[in-house]
Amino acid sequence: MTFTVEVDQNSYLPAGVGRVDAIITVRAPDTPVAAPPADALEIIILDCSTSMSGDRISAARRAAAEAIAQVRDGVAFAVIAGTATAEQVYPATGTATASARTRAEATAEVQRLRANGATAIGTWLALAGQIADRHGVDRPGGVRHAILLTDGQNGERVAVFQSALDAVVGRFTCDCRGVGTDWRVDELRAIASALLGTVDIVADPAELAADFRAIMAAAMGKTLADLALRLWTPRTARVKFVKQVAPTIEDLTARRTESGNLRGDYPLGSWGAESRDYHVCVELVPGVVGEPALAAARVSVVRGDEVLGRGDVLAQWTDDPALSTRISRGVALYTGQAELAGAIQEGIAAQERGDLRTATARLGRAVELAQAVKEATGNDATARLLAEVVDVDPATGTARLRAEASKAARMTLDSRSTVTVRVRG
Amino acid sequence: MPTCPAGHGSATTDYCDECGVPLTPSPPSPPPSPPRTARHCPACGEVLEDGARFCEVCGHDSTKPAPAPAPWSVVATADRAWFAEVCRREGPDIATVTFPQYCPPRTFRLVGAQMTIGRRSRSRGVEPEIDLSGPPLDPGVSTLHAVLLANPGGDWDLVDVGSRNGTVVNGHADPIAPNTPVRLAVGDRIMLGAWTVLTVQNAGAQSR
Repeated sequence: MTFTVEVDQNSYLPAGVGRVDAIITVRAPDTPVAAPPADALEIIILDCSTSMSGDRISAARRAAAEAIAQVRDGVAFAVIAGTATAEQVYPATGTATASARTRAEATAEVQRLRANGATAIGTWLALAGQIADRHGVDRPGGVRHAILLTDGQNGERVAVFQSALDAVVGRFTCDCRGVGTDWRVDELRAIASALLGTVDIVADPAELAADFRAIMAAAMGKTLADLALRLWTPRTARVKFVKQVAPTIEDLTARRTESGNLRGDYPLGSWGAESRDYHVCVELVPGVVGEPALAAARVSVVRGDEVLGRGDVLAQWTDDPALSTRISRGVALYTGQAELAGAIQEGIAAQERGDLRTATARLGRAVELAQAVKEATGNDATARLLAEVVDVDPATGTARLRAEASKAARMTLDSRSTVTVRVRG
Repeated sequence: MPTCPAGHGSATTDYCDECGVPLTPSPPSPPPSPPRTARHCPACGEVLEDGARFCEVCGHDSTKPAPAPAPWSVVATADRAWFAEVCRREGPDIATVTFPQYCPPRTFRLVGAQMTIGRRSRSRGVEPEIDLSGPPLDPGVSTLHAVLLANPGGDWDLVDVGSRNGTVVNGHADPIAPNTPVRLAVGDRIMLGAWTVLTVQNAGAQSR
């Protein structure tokens, strides 16, 4: 099995400059070797706190039933109900192997769930971690995935929650969904980010079942667990950052684990038939103008010590500004989109604090950046979400926050701020 | 085990796995320029006529060593006349910008091969040598606005690297073309943003 690793960069640097930027596109083979289903694990975590009463708990029950129906035969699964503690709903302990019978039993258990209690997400993650570990003992290479649904803020102390989250990093991946508008985007983003999953809002509980079906379909397509991006850099180099930039922005810089002389591994989670882009930035000691290109970084995709694909980032120095001032399209587009995500998150956070001046400035800047993305790629998804929250006078370019914007519109914009558009062609 | 020119033993055979230099030297690209027989002026780098002793461009005596390169610098100031000009040209958002009450001149010595002009941005990882992020902040200066490139002769070129609001030299009616080097002379005024002017200075020469 081979992955393709493509490098998009301008290798020419002006004399005296050491910063090298490259976009690395990693593409899995179209039909990755399917892992035997028994290796895979799926955990469904449902918020059953008091705030879920009414429409929400019934929508959550329907959504969970939908997710359970999508679990492929032979895949291990479990359902957790979360309140101030985590309770395993199905099976009583460990995991069940999906079949028509176990799916029906699990669905019946889920229908009995009632909303009553507090919200302590850390304890839910801890239980999911235990289930994943027990499952992983015999099946080390299996894909371990969870889906977390909540509608409210976490009630735990920040330090308690953070240590619970840190403890489960790497044990499973987790997609998070918030129902309604009483949850906090930054909390769920912290979980999804640490556990290499996605975060999104389901503003209307009626849409939950369809969303769960989509998440499970994606999860069932993942067949390769625990891949890593291995980065070699020369002795004198410094890695400035390593970021996933498509399909979403995720800074991986701090997640490096050393894997040998001058090598470090960055976790990539589980893969199906998909491709993702990474932005690697390395600071070198500037070299001599006119010398042949040297390797500034060597990138490979690994599973354990098996190398699935590799690519090289090069650097050479020139005194021809026509060569050195060219900026790679991919680097430019993703740098703009990273700034766009930051501007949106800062703008929304400022608006929540009541600092409308900063909010207007940052969201106004976001509109400009979103417009640039639209011009470069033809994709206006972020521009449209922004238009619901901020108005820009086309004549003067002055931004104004829309007073009538709904909280759901702002949370949708915030949740999807890290979703990027790829470079075409 | 192959050994690289710096003496590292390398487990990889294409690039040294210690310092990254290529182990099977490919012809450098661009190909080396053909050896020149022409002589150059030690002071300004201009080609000397055959047998000529004095440079026709700068008058330097080629039997003498090159003079120590005079230090160039730019001084950043908030310029009320330029601000008025931007208002007159109806720059974007200019109505929302106020001229700063207090802006001490800042001097940046031009050193190395290039100096970036812009505003520091953590989100984009840009740390320009000539950082105009203030305070006071000129909102019209792009994060990566322009670059000053050193010439072998000791003087400097200005390149606008695609700034949002453009760069004007000496109050010219049109901004300079992006990504095209413009030769600077001492005394030139680089005008950018809403009110920022960078004046090119050279300690060893008279301002025009």
